[in-house]
Amino acid sequence: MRGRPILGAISGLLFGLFLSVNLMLWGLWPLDRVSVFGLPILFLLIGLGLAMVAPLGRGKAGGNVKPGTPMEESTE
Amino acid sequence: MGRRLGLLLFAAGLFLATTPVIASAGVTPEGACWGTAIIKGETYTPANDTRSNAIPIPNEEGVEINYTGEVDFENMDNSGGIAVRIAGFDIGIATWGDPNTADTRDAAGVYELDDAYAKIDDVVPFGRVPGIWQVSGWHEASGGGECSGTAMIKIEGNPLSNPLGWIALGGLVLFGAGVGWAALARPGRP
Repeated sequence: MRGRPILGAISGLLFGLFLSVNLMLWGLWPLDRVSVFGLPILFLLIGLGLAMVAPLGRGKAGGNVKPGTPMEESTE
Repeated sequence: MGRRLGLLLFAAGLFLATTPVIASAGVTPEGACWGTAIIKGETYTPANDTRSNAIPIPNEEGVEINYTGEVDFENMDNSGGIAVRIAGFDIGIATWGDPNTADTRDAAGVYELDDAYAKIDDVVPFGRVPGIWQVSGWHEASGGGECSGTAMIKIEGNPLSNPLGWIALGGLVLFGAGVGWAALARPGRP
């Protein structure tokens, strides 16, 4: 579990809901069962999945360390 | 484990997105009802029931709609209605009824679009909302004849001319950013 799954699920759900409203407003897809129920569930799953995989911001473990900064020695 | 589950959820989402959507529309039973609407010289019929051939409704003053309608069944003591269909639920707009004893099977007239817009502007918080809408209608008579159908209409206009358009766009950006933030790897998490 790398990202923020609760945030991903809630944001995905609301993103899907707002997407369906936008599709209706821009004349692309009416507010039917697919867009009102399907899209929010779809993006809930995508948001949750992305949060679990957390593909963004990887490879920065130790990336905040400025070049030339001496590594701390283990005290053990 | 979490990574596998995440990939599974992501795949489930993609599957849902690519599942074909079967939509039923038109008139049921076929041929039981028929009607036309002439808007700015263009004639529209119940065949205008898909997103790609939606009936354009001009968002302007002074538009007249010439309509005709007919049924192929005994049409005494008839009633009917029209509704906007949202997520499968019908929200009634108007109903009609006539306890007629004569078997009148057709009608024609002129409808002033301004009348509809005046009602919408009065009742709907954001007024007339541009976009594509599915409308449904039904008609029945005492003899047992009935028909129902759907059509697709597109209220013309710029969505951003309505506060709802800005709210919808803002929500999309905000929660899109939320998904992005949630997908950021937290430091120290394997």
